[in-house]
Parts: sequence; C-alpha cells; structure tokens
Amino acid sequence: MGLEAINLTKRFFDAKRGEFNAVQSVSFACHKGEIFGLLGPNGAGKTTTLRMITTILKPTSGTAKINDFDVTTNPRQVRKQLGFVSADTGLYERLTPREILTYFGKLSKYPKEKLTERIAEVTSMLQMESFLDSRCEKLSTGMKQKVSIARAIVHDPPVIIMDEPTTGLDVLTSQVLHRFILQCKEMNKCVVFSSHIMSEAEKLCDRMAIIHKGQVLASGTLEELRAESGMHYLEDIFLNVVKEDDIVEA
Amino acid sequence: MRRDDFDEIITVFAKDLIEVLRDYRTLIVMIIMPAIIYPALLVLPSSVATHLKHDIKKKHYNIALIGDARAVIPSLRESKTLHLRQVLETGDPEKLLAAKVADIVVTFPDNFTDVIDNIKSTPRVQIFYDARRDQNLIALAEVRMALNMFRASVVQYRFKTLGVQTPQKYELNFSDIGEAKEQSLASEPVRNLLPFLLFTMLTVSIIYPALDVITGERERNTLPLLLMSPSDRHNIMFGKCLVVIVIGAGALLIGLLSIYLFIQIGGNKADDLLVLKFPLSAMVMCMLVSIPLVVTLSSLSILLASWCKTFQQGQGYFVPFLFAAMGASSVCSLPELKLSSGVAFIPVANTALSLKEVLSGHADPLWLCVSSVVAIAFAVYVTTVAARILDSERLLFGVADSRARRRLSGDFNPEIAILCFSVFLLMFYLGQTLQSWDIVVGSLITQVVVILLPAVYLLKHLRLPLRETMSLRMPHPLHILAALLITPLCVLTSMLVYNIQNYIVPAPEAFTTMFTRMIVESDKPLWLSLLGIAVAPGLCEELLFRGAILGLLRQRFKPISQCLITGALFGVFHMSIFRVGPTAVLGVVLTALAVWTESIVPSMIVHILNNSAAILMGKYHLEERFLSYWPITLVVGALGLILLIKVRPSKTGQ
Repeated sequence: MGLEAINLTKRFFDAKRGEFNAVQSVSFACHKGEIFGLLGPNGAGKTTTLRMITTILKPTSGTAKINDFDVTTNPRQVRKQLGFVSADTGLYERLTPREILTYFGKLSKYPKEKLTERIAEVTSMLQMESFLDSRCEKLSTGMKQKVSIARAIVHDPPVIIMDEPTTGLDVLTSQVLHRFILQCKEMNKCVVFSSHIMSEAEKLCDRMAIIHKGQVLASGTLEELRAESGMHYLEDIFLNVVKEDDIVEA
Repeated sequence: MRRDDFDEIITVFAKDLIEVLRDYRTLIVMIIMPAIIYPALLVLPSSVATHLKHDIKKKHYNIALIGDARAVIPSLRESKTLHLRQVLETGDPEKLLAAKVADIVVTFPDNFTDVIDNIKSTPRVQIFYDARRDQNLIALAEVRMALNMFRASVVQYRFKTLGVQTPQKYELNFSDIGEAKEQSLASEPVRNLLPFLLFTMLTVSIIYPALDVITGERERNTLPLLLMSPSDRHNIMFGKCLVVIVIGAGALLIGLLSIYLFIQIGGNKADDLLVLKFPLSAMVMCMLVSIPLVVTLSSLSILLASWCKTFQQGQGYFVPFLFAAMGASSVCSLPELKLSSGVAFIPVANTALSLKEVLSGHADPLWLCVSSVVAIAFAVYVTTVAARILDSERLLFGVADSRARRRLSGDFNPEIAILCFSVFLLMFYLGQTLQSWDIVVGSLITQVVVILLPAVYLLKHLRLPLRETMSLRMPHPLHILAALLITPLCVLTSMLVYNIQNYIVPAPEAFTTMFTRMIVESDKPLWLSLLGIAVAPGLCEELLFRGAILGLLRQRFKPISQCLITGALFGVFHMSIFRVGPTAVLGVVLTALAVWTESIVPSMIVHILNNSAAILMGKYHLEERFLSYWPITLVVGALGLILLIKVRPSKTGQ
C-alpha cells in the first residue's frame, strides 16, 4: 500500500515546440513509512508528474495508484488519500489559518466532531497557535508555508506529496519542514517530495529517482546510486546521470 | 441530492461568502452602488425635469420695445411673465439681445399708433429673440399672446365704434380627469426604467464576486488545492454560484429598498413631470420576480468567470457581458411582446418581461411560473457547464492539448462552431440578399455557395475523407423504401409542430403569406421552383448538417446527442423564430434517419420530398386533402418505421 506511478506519460502542445513529452513513462513506487525523492532540474517534469498523481492533470497514458485507487478511474477516492504541499500554491489571503483548516477539513470529509481537536493537534505540531486567528495576508512567508502544510495534513491523509516545498524558505523554516517530513515518516505515512536541492534529498530520502527531460534516468536508495555511479555525493551522481543523458542525446 | 453534496455546497458557500464579504470592492458594488447610485439614476431625471419646470414657471422674461409701442404697452403689462425693461424710440434689437438687456425685443413702426387708429395699412411688428436658448420660446409665445390680446381689443373697440354688436364668445369648459390605472403597480417612468436599471445593477453587483470566487482562485493559485480535495466539481461550482446569487439578491434588495425610499422621501409631487409611483407592494413583487433573474445572471457570470484565466481578462469580458444584459432588458420596450408569446422560454429575456408584466399589473401567474422554472433550469445547466470548465488544464496551468491530438480524439467542436458561425453569417448577409432578389435562383446559388462549399472546404482542410465523413454511401434498398414511406409522416409532423408553435408564438400574417407570394405566385416554372427550393436544399443542407456536422460530431457524442445538436442547429439555421420548431423537429428526424441507416441518402430523399410537398400543397391548395388522409399517413409511416427497425445496416452486411 502506498503510491505507485505506472508508466505515467503526459504530452503537451506548445506553439514553438509542437507536441512534446513533458513526462515519459515515469514509474516509481513509494511505500508506507517511506520518503521518496523526485530529483531533477527545473523543467524536468517533476511538477507535471506530481500533478498527474494528484489528479489535476490527466495522464496521456499510464496511470498512478494511491492505496490501490487509480487516478484515472477513481480520482475522488484518490483525493481523499492525499495531502499536497507546494511552494507556489496560494492561500486564501482574506481567511485566517483556522478558517482555512476548517474549510479543507470539511471538504476532505474529516469527521466534524473531531475536526476542532485535529486542528489543535496540527497547529500545535507546527507551532502555529500565535497566528491561528490572523488573516493570512498579514503572515510572513514562513508562517504561510506552515499554514500550507497544516492544510495538507488536516484530514490526516496517508499519502503526502510535496512539490519543492522548501523553495523560497529561510534556513529555520526549512528546518521545521524537514522535521515535519521526518515526523510523517515516523507516523507511517508515505511521503513523495520533489526537489532540486541535493543536500535536502540526501538528508531525507529513503529512496529517490533522478528525472530529466521527462524521463527517470536512475532510481534507488542513496547507497544503490552510489554503487552504480561510483560517486559518493548525490550532487555528483546527479550531474553525472544528467550529463550522460545529454551526451547520449547529442 | 445526497447529504454529502449538500454539505459540500454549504461548505464552499460559507467560505466563499466570508471571503467575498471581507473584500471592500464587494461592499461597494453590493451596498454603496445599489443604495445610492441606482436610485439616484431613477429619481434624478425626474427631479431635474421638475426643477426645470419650476424654473420655467418662475422665470420672468425681460422685454424691450423699440418704436411707437404706446398702444401695446398696457396689454404687455398684463402678462405675468413679461417684464417691460426698456421702451426705446430707436435702437438695434440685435445689440440689445447681445448685451442681454432683454430676452426678447419687439420693434414697432414709428407710426404704429396712427396706423392702428386709422386702419391705414397692416403694421409690421417684428419680434427678435435669441433662438439658441429654448426658454426664449416661452417668452416668444407670451409676447405673441399679448399681441393677440391687443389685436382682439382693437377689433373689439372698432366694432364698438361702428355700433356693431359683437357675437358672444363661446367658451369651452375644460376639466382634466386623470383616470388612474388601478391594476398598474408602478407608474410608467418606473415601469420603463426599472428593468433596465435592475439589469445594470445586478450585472455590476454580481460580476465582481463571480470573478473573485473563480478567476480569483485561479489567479491566486488556490484553485488546484480545491480541485485536489475530494469534493465534487459540480458541488464546488454550485456553492460558488450560490455566493454570487446571495450577493446579487442582497444588492437587489438594497437597490429596490433604496429606490422605494428615494421615491417616497424624495418627493412625488402631483405636478411632477415624471410621476414616480413605486409602492411597497411593487417593490416586493419586483424582488420576487427578479429572483430568477438573479439566479440566471449569476450562473452566466460564473460561466464567464470560469473561462477567464486572469482577473484582468475577466474585467475585459465584463463590458460586453454588461451590454448583453442591458440589451436583454430592452425586450421591455417592445409593446406587443408578452410572456405567453413564447418569450417565457427564452432565459434572461423572460425575466425582463416578467418584471414589465408584473409592474404593469397584468401578469399571468402561469406564465410567470413557466418563466421562473425556465430561468432556474437554465441556471442549473449553465452552472453544470461551468463546472466542467473549472478543471480545464488549459486554464489552470496554461497547457494546451495539441490540435492534432484533439482532432484525433474526435473533438471537432471548435471547427463545428466556426463552420456554423461562417454559414450563419453568410446566410444572413449573402443568402437572404440573394433570396430576396430571386427566391428560386437565389436559393440555388445560396445552397451551393453558402451551404455546400464551406462544408466541403472544412472537411478538405481537416483532411478528412469526404465520402466516409459525410456518410455518402448507398443505403440498403429497403431503407430507401422506408424513407419514402415515412415522408408523409414527416410532413404531417412538421405541420403539426408548426401549428403548435403558431399557437404559442403566433406568426404574423405577413410571414404566412410570404411563402405563398414568393413560391406559389412565382412566375417561375414549377420544375425550377422544385429544383431551387426542394432538390437543392435537400442535397446541400443534408451534406452540411447530416454530412459534415454530423460526421464531425459522431466520434464525440452519443447518437441521441448527435440528433438533438444537429436538429437544433438545423432549426436555428432557418433564421426565423416562427419556423424554428418544425425545422428543428424535422432536423432531429432526418439526423436520426442518417444515424440509423449510416447513410445520408435516406435523409436526402425525405428532405427533398418534404420541401416538394410544401410547394405542391401550397400551389394546388392540397393541405386540407392531405390532412384528411392522416390515418393512411400514420399507417404508411408506421410501416416505414418498422422497416427501418427491422433492417439495420450491420444486419445487411454493409
């Protein structure tokens, strides 16, 4: 049980480039209690892959399964299993964090009688009590990111997907986020997160996949990748894999 | 509706309502504008007119006299509005006017008194005034009246001196009896202005919240999160639509209440030029009747907002939307139009007309109900369509499907829209001109140039095989026989539908006699009429509708939808509200025939024979006789249908 991407492919059309594969036959799996990293440079296809998994993009071919629910045939059930955090998703600026959490808790069908208790639990975990009733428009970037995380987990989803969650955050807030990801693992959740920061992936991920130009070029645990490439640092491994691909293509 | 659906709608509604109400821009369009600006727009013209009237009443006009005016002065002094400013022996009237010494200058000959006393000749009196000021016309009338009084007194005096008894003057005794229309809820200015004002007020008040709750979410990037929640898209959209409805209804209530108060407090004097009567009962009725309008316009604004990627884009669409809404309110100015004449079925226009009928006090409750039901059903449909657009990948992330892949998946909707738009436009400008020049020859040219060529060109452009796409294949021989057998039934059905439609939307006499004049009394030989009006449309229109359009719809839509869409387009294509019913029904039947037989030939046969029957029955007055054979028509038609059902193309190995 967990998340499984099976040959996910997404073709886009662009006036300049014509038809192209943004994501091509991407497959990977992430199990309960595991942190899986999707590593790649900007434009590699990480976000598109995660958007297909979160059901807001329809795959051109292939599919993904979350706790055995298929994203193409049973998207509503899939959405119940998911929590999504991203650096670029917005917040309702005119609402307070409490109102946002209540809203998403209700939409995600979290039991009404337990919702207040759950909000208290989540906000305590993320140290949000001091700004829980301030409007989001008045919050700092770090506070907003905490609200985003709280919103993603308020319904206690078994699978958490994070799309470059630390982009634009300072070291302290990034640290809070890293702790939260590790906490999720302890809570036996399946965590998939994308990043282009290798140190972050090295620190957090149990397994990872290097994605470049829409394709998975290498995957496995850090040790497996080290053994395969003969290099120690993930950044070197990553550059080596990406360069090789560019040379092959040239 | 399930409990879950209801909960989802209410959750979205509550959150969006709080969010929208926390924005000062909503408060401006919802409260300030309806409370102050719209009532002022209604009351101000009346107040200005009344003040102008009072101004005119109070005003005194300065008059200057040049020349020998001694005899006239007493008559001029009797006028209450003329103030005798100067009496000069000589002077330049134009200079006096330019120096604003007087509003009006009257010149008299130097021997005026002598001429009057001795009846020497006709004295020349000239009146000078500044024609650029409308008010001077009143002064001119006053002066003329005073001079006429003077002339009458001179005549009277002369009769007296001659010892002639003047005839007694007959006076007409006038009295004004204003008969108030008891049934009318509001006075005429209010009845005429209010629908226009309400449409404007509603459109302005709902467009901002609609853009905020949908386009705003898209622009602020909160929509993806909402779409990742397990809520149903339709419920999200209904919740958002409900917010817009509440804001619209709130604005409407504030606006109507304010108009009511403005009229009550702002004065409704008996001598006002525009009598503004708007009692509480009219306000309540207006509110009730306008609810379906709020619902309809809210759903349309939601649909508009769903199409917009950014707020700026939405604001760009706002002006055309406002004009369209204001244009719809203009149905109130058509005096003969009534809900019962079929307008009850036309969304938006029906609520405008409901308002007018309610305010004028002769609304039919049945048609008001029909109008409301149509408005709400339309709103539900529009919101459902908007829900489908909500998660559009193109609008969410700016990604577009390849045109080639879209076409490969059988989605030709944009191409069909362009084809229909082009054909309708050509038909309107070129086709109608050609047919008004010569109904038969014009129709022939129209069929080929306006109808057939665009269809063939589009299929060629799309590189689709013509024969296959247009189903240009020979049907089973029994299908041809079946088509021949069902033709009389089609003719009978068309006549029946025409009569039903004529009952609901009565066609004017000019329309019913037009066909007779143009075809039956035409000097063209019968074969040419049949060629131009029966054979050519039977071939060309079929190739467009059952050929190109049906061919492009086939992959994407189910057979029932294919029939309904093609039939509706066929009905609209005939460009007459009085023919839309029968032609749409015929269109559905012909499409069903083409879908079932997988060939265009049977529908061509029925179409040609149907049009030929209309010409022949009109020319030889055979309608009555044809109708009298209805049992035979039914039996023959049933046989044709049985034959069609029994022989499917797949069974015949085609």
